[in-house]
Amino acid sequence: MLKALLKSEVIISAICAAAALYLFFETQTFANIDVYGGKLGSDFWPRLILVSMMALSAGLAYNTIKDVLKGKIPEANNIKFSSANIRFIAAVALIATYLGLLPVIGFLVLTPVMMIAFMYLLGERSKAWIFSIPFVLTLGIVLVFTKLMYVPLPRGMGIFLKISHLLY
Amino acid sequence: MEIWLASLLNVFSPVALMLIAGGALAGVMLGAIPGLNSPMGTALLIPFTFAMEPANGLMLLTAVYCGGTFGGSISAILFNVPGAPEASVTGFDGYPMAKSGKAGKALGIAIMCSCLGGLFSVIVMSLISPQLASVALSFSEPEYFALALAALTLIASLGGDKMIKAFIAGCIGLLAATIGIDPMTSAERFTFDGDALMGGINFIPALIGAFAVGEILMTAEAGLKKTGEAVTKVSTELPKIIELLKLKWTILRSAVIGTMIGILPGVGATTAAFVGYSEAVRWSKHPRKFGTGIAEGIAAPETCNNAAAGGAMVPLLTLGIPGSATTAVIIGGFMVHGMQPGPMLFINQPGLMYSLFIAMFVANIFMLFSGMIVAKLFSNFRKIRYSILGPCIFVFATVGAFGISNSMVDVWIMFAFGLIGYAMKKFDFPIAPLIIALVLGELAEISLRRGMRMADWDISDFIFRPIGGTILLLTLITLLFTIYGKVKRKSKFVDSKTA
Repeated sequence: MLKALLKSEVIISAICAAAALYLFFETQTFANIDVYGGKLGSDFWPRLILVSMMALSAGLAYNTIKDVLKGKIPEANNIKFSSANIRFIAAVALIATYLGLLPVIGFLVLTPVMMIAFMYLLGERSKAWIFSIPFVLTLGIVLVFTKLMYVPLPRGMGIFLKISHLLY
Repeated sequence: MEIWLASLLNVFSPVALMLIAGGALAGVMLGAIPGLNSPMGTALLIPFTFAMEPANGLMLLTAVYCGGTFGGSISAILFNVPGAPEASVTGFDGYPMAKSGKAGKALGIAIMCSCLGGLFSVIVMSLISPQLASVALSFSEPEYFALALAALTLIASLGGDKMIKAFIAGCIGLLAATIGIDPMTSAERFTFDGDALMGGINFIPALIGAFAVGEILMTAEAGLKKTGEAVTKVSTELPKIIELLKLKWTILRSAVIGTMIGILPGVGATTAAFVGYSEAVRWSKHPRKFGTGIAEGIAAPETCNNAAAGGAMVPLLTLGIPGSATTAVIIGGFMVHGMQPGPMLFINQPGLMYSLFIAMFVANIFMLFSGMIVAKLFSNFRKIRYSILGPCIFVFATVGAFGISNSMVDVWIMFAFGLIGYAMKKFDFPIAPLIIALVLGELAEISLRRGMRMADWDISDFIFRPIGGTILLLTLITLLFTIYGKVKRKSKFVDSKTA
C-alpha cells in the first residue's frame, strides 16, 4: 500500500507543494518598494497563487490517498522506468546539447547534425531522407529567415562564424 | 452614398483587387509559418507602399493583417505549433481533431469561422465605429480584471474530472506570468539574481514548448509505436450549411466578443480568442468535450480572433490608438503617406476610410480562398512520417521561439516548458489551463492592483460598476454552477457504485 502511495500522484503533490513553499520564501527577497502605501505590493499576487497551489496540492494528495485506500489508483498513474525512458533521456540530452551549442557552432552547421541524430533517434532509417531533409530544411530556413525577414539566427564563433558568414 | 460608391469603385479596380488578394495570401503564408507573423510581414511591406497610392498601400497592409490573423491556425491544427499567438487556442481542439483523421474538417471550420468573424467585425466597424470607440474608452481596470477573471474560470471546466489538477496547472501558469520585472513597482520577481528572466516569460515559446516539444518528447519515448500513426490524405472541407447552423450561436457570440475585445486598446486578438473559447465552454451543452477535438472549440477562437482584428481597427481609425501590435505597425503605414489616424481622418479623408472598410471586407473573402490554398500546401506535410516530421517541427519551433526577440532565452524557455508539458501529459494534468493562465495572468494581476489603487483600496468599486460588476456576477454564477455540476456528477457516480 505504501509503495502504491509513494508511486502515485502523492509524489507530484509533494513536489508541487515543496516548490510552492520554496518560492513562497523566495517572495521575501522581492524588493520592498513602498510605492502604494505597502498595499498589494509586488509579492501580493505571487503569494496568493503559491498559497492556493499549496492548498490544491494538499487537496490532490488527500484525494489520491483516499482513492488508493479504496484501491482506485489506475496503473497508468504510477511512475515506471523502462527502456523507453532511455529514448526520452536521449532526446532531452540531444535537445539540451543542441541549444547549448547553438551560440557556439551556429544554426547553419549544427542544425543538420542535430536533425540527423534526432531522425535516427525517432526511428528513421532511410538514408535518402536522413541525408537530404536536414540540409534542405536548414538552407531554406536560413534563406527565408535571414534574407527575407532579417532574423539574426545564431552564427556561432570562430570558424563556424566564418562558415555562417558565407550565407548570412 | 456617393462616397461609398466611389470607395467601392476604388476597391474593385484591378490593381486594388490584386493587392488585396496578394496581401491576404501573403498574410496567411506568414501566419502559418511559426516565427513569422503579421506584424512582421506588415512592417516589412510598409516600404513597398511608398510608391503606391495611399489607399492601395493601406489596403495591402490591412489584407496582410486579416490573412495573418487566420494563418496561424493552419500550423496549430496540423502540427500543434501555432504560427501566430492568435491561433494558440485553436490547437486545443484543432489538433486533437486533426489527430483523429479530421484535419480537413478542422481546417475548413477554422477558415470559414475566421472569414465570418472578420466579415462581422468589418460590418460593425463600418456602421458604428465612433460609438464603439466611446464604449471602449469607458472600460477601466475593474472591467479588464473582470474580463480576465471570467476567462480564467474556464480552467474549472477544462479539467473535466481533474479539476484540482487543472487548477494546479492554472496556478503554474499564473506564477510563470509573474516572473520578471513587476510592471507596477519595478521589483524583480523570481529572476534569481540573473538577467535572463528579467523580461519575463513570453507565452509563445512557453506554448510551443508545452504543446509541440512536449509532444515530440512523448513520441520519442513511445518510439516506433507512435510513429506508426496512420496519416490520411488531408483535403480542406468547408463546413456544410447545416453544420454552420449548428454552430450559429457559438459563431455569433464569438464574433460579438471578438469585436468588442478587439476594440479595447492593448488587449488584442490573442486574449479575444481565449475569452471566446472560455465563453464557448461556459455556454456549451457539453463542456466536458472541449479539448477532445470538437467543432465549437475551433469555431469560437477562430471567429473571435478574426473579429478582434477588425475590432482593433476601430480605435486606430477613430482615435488614433492602436488596438494590437499589427495596427500599431499600420499606423506607420498611414504616417509614411502623411496621414495621422484619428477622428479628423473621417472628416478629411472619408473616401479612404470607406475604401479601407470595403477592402477589409473583400480581404476576408479572399482569405477564404487563400486559406484553402495554404492549408492544402501545409497539409502535404502531414503525409510525412513523424520520424522525419518531428525533427522538422522542432527546428521550426526553435526558430519560432528565437524569432520573437532574437534571444536564446526564449528558446530555453521553450525547452523548459517542453519538459513541463511532457511531465503534465505523463501525469495526466491538462496543459490548456497552464497556457490560459500564463496569457491572462498579467492582465488579471495588474488590472486588480491598479484598479484597487484607483479605487483607493475599496473593493466595492469592482463590484458595483455596471459592466465590470455584471461580468463578475456572471463569472461567479457560472463557476458555482460548474463546481455544483461536478459534485453532483460525482455523487451520482458514487451512488450508482454503492447501489
